[in-house]
Amino acid sequence: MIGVGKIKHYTNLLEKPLSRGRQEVSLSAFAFLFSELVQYNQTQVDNIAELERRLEDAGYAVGARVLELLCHREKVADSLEKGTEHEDEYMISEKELLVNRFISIPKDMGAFNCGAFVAGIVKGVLDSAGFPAVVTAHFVPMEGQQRPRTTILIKFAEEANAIEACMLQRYILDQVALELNVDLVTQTEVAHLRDLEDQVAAKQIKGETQVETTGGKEQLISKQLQDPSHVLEGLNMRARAKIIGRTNYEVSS
Amino acid sequence: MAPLVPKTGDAIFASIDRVNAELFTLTYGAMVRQLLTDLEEVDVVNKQLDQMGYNIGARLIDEFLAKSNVSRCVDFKETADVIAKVGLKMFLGVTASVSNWDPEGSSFSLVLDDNPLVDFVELPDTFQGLHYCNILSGVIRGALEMVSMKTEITWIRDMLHGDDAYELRVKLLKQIPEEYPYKDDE
Repeated sequence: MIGVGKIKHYTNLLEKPLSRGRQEVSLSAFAFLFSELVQYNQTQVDNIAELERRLEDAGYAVGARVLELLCHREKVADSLEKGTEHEDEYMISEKELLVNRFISIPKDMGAFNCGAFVAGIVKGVLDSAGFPAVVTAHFVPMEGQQRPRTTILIKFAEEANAIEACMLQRYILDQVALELNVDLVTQTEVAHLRDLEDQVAAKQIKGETQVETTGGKEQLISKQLQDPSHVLEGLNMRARAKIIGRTNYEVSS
Repeated sequence: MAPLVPKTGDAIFASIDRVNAELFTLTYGAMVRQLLTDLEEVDVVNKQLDQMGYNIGARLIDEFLAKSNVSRCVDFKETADVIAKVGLKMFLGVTASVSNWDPEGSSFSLVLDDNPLVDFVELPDTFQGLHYCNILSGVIRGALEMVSMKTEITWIRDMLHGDDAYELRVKLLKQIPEEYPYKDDE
């Protein structure tokens, strides 16, 4: 008899012990599955916006459940960072996003981005955690690289502004990044962004960026980076972007 | 040229890029949910999953052949073993066992104890007819068809329906000889 003694049958799914943590499947299995998901959705919609919406919805469902799994795994919260800023916009930036790695966009689909799925996951996680946010995915063309970098832009709703909330948000985003195998922006990239920022300063656009606030609230400047907000070309110039780095990747000025 | 040594499933799985199985499981769940919402009928969803699996299998076989260095299988028995030990391991990280060969050796059962597609899944009463993992049967069917074997695959046991394991019955219908596309004289 197969698996004698190994498999217990539970009447209720919820009584089953939570399975063996970090198991893995091949990247290509995921890539194939994702491509079928996109292809199926293509047949169900008429335009790109709807396609992105559907992918985002699918990702949302994933994100909600990812959060539950994270909570039940009893992750110790020792990677909480001391955030002193009241930023409400964050970016997760990835050179070659997992879902975009094996996907090529035909020219007539223009700005479609499968990162909408990942954006949906992040949105699902944050919503379920009680931090409603608007999450979108953008292509950011980078100089010297053929493929544009994908950026997930997260804009938190106004309610979530207490310091504890900020810390929790950072923590959750860190965990989500871990789940998605996304590397947060590294030191060299922050340096690159600082160069961009210098260029921006030279163009005297900097003054404009400080002004835009949500609901007229003052935005505190990050103590860690000790710089005013960075502006990335390719994103809406009026949007304030804040880079999240892991603690060991922070740049001191 | 020295013949390439076929690698074991474990060796290949260790050498390729991997992702978190939960992401995979949850993505599959999201996809099935979408299908159920759009198509509503359980039979239609089963068919759609099978078709999607077929599309995947047709492309997956190329990667499988490239990465695993297996030589041409001598007979169907070897095919079965290769699927169970190398193929499934390479993509899903699990192995299956092969059993219940029929007397002619043209059909076998593939038994999976562990299936990453169905973690955290429970079927509600309204969808009892759903073969949740039907994509797997499609993948195997598609892959085998690309290597000239036409098969028919059915589910015998399904853990979501209360059984103790997942059992697929794979039946070889016929071997299709390789056809070469008609070449134009240009």
